[in-house]
Amino acid sequence: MLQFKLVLLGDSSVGKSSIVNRFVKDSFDEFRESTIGAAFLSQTVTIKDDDQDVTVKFEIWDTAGQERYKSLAPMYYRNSNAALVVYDITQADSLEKAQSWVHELKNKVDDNNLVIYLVGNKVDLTKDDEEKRVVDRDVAEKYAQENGLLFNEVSAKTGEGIQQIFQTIGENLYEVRKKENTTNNSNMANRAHGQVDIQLPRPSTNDSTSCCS
Amino acid sequence: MRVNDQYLDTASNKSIRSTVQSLRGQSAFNVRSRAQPSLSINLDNTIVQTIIPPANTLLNDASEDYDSVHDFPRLRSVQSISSIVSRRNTRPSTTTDQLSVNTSFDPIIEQTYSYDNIQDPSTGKLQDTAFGREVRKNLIDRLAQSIYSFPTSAVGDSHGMKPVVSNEIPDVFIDVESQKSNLKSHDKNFFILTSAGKPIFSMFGKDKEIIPFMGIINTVVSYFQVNESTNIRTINLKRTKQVFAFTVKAPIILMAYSRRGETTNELMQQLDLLYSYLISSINERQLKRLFHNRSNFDLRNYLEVTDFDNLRQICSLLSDKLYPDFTLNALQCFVMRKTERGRIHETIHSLLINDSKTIPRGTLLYGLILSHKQNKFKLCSVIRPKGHSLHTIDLQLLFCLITHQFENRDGDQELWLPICFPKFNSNGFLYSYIKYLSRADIDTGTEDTVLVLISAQKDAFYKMKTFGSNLWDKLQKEKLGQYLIRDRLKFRISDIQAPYIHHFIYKAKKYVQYVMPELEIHNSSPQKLRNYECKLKRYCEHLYSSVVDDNGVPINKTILNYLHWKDTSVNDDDDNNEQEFVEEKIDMMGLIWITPQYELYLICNNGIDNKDIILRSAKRIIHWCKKNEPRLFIQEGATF
Ligand SMILES: Nc1nc2c(ncn2[C@@H]2O[C@H](COP(=O)(O)OP(=O)(O)OP(=O)(O)O)[C@@H](O)[C@H]2O)c(=O)[nH]1
Ligand SMILES: [Mg+2]
Repeated sequence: MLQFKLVLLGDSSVGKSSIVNRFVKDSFDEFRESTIGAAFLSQTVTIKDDDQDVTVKFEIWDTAGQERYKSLAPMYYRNSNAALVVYDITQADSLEKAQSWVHELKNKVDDNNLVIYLVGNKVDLTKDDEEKRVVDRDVAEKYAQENGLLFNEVSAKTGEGIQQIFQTIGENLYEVRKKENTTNNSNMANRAHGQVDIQLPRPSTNDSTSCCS
Repeated sequence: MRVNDQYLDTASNKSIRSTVQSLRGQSAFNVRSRAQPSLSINLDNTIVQTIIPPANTLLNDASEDYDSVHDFPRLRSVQSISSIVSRRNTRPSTTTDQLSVNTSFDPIIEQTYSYDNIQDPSTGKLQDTAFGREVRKNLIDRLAQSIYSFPTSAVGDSHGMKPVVSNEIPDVFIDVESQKSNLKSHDKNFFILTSAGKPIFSMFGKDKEIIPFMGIINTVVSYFQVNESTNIRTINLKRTKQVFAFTVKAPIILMAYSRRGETTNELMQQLDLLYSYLISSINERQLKRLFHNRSNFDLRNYLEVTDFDNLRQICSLLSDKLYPDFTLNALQCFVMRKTERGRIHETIHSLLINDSKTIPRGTLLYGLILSHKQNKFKLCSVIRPKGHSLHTIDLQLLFCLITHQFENRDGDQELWLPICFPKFNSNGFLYSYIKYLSRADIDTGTEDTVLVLISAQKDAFYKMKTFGSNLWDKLQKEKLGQYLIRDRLKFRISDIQAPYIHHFIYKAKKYVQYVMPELEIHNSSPQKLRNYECKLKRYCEHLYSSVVDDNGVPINKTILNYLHWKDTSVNDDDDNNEQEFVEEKIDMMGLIWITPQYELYLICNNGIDNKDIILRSAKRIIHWCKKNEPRLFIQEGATF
């Protein structure tokens, strides 16, 4: 099983915990306490590599958006393989905050393979009332493209797009790992990256091309 | 680590209450006693206490055969006990100045006690009923089963009767003004502001209302700083029984207001708790930095919604809830058999010693297993270094911080939480690893059980995580986990053979822990539960303030005192001739008993005013608590 570390960053009350909760428990709370410190959870996704099912386990750090915990963030993103940077499409300054997180990640994390996913949350609010939107999709998308980020708008409330985020990240990281393993093709089953313990699945068929070759 | 008397493992009886010095305020009662008390202390010509000198061991010895009739002669040594009787005054007096509101209490004194006349008020009446003896006995049996009092009262049984008293206690603390809804009407409020007069928090009141108050508070504080070069501590308005207590800790000012008859010292202690909360999330160094060169800084911009929620929660626990953790500076413990607790602690200890690979020495500072129910935490186990402990206030703040975090967390989530423990080190943070061991489930009968592991190392999360899961696996394997997640031994007042007692709180000073029976209130609305808890709380507060001076110092090392609340209001029966139901008269007795070893607060059933019976029950409770000490309290914990 592949294991990846993922961190969620973003301003307070943009919906980080709600996104994780949707992903892990497939539920949503209208009244959710603001996170203090950080919460650690895990959840798996299954991705397809040709005909093969690959299980990817995410170890997730849901950090607190409150300003006072900001200085702790490096502890959580330092060893991450992926970062979800979340903003609220109904709050303009939350995008600015997200951009500053992206900036910090790019400066502080050495790993060139770090997957950064920019997420605009709470799209459900614009469904009845387009007025509520203050961050244009195009603006955020353009920013994401320029900076090489993945991007989507989602809703933790309805669940729209949530699973897909993790699926995409899983697939991306899997590809990266596969390439890495091909280039240093010896000992592929036991390679470790940072603290992450990676075990690529052994081919379940006789077809020797089905895995990493 | 600092150790002082409020730490969990110390045996001192000196209370933190005594460390705050303040002006002497007015006391709540006027007492005139017929018999000359063995010792009486007159504070501003108010409180009279019966004090049992420490040398008098007769009363201290609760473990003796309290059932024997020899109790009676002994009791004569306390014949000087005086009663304090409160008269309920249902009419508010006219208000004269902006803040003044009369309390509903106008206590007077009355000697109600006579030795020759020991009579059970509840049994006598029933003898006149028209029922046949058998029928009557049956009925009484059934009635008796529905009440708290244990049916083997000496008096009750001698008649072949069981005592029948109401299990509802009246509320003597109805504050007429509180039913209105403006800022002045609250009988208690807390204000927090900056030294520049900027509001930070108030328990009641909207911004518009409180800003003028903040101005006044700030002016008063500054006046004393400038003119007297001192910090004001308290203002007592004797006539209106209002107390204002101040705590000035630049850049923060806190003020408590109360007309509930609390002592200045109690209010100061409450302010200390609120201040400690602020420090637990900001820490003193950060706070100073924020205000450095910016005396006008608005701290509200820095605090988060969570902080205001938590401050409100603390205020509510301080004012409306029966939450002795704060008032007694003690923690409540999860009841467990001695052997079970012992084995759990042994298991934890051996893991700590043998698992130094996962958790190098010095990584773990302190560990707790807690049981969480209805926003209340009880200690199941303590893991701590020998001779060291965390201050109860620090732990209580931790509880406050994490209470809400549990509301919508699923069991698999683990938290890593930086927190400043103000009594441990007000300038730095510690880190807490928090995980559920089990979730409350009615079907399986489990409770919310929480593991807390505290470290000084910011990055110790994974070590704690591994240790935590090893620990839980081991406990499960040894079949000990079940004892932590099921509350099998909780007890009610009816489980103790202490007749006519409605509720009690017993604090074992040595362990800084207390016990009380489960509140027996079922299917009640939150409002009703709140009223009930508030009522109990205020009876206890009254008892407490009747035996301490305004600085919170008990008037003697050993004190036994009764309070008697009585409805002496002239019944306006002429007005309500139509009334079909007549409520039972208010005739409440309470007892407080403080010794170097313990504090006991007793609230009796309404209508019980026989001090012999009450004292006898008090002794039974003390005896029971002492006998069950290893079950009721964590005595040692897993030390390393
Ligand atoms: N309408 C709507 N509300 C949402 C959505 N996601 C979250 N919310 C609400 O937004 C509020 C904040 O959500 P959280 O998930 O606690 O936000 P957070 O980012 O974890 O906040 P911090 O823990 O303080 O950093 C909650 O009241 C949620 O119910 C969404 O997709 N749609
Ligand atoms: Mg959150």
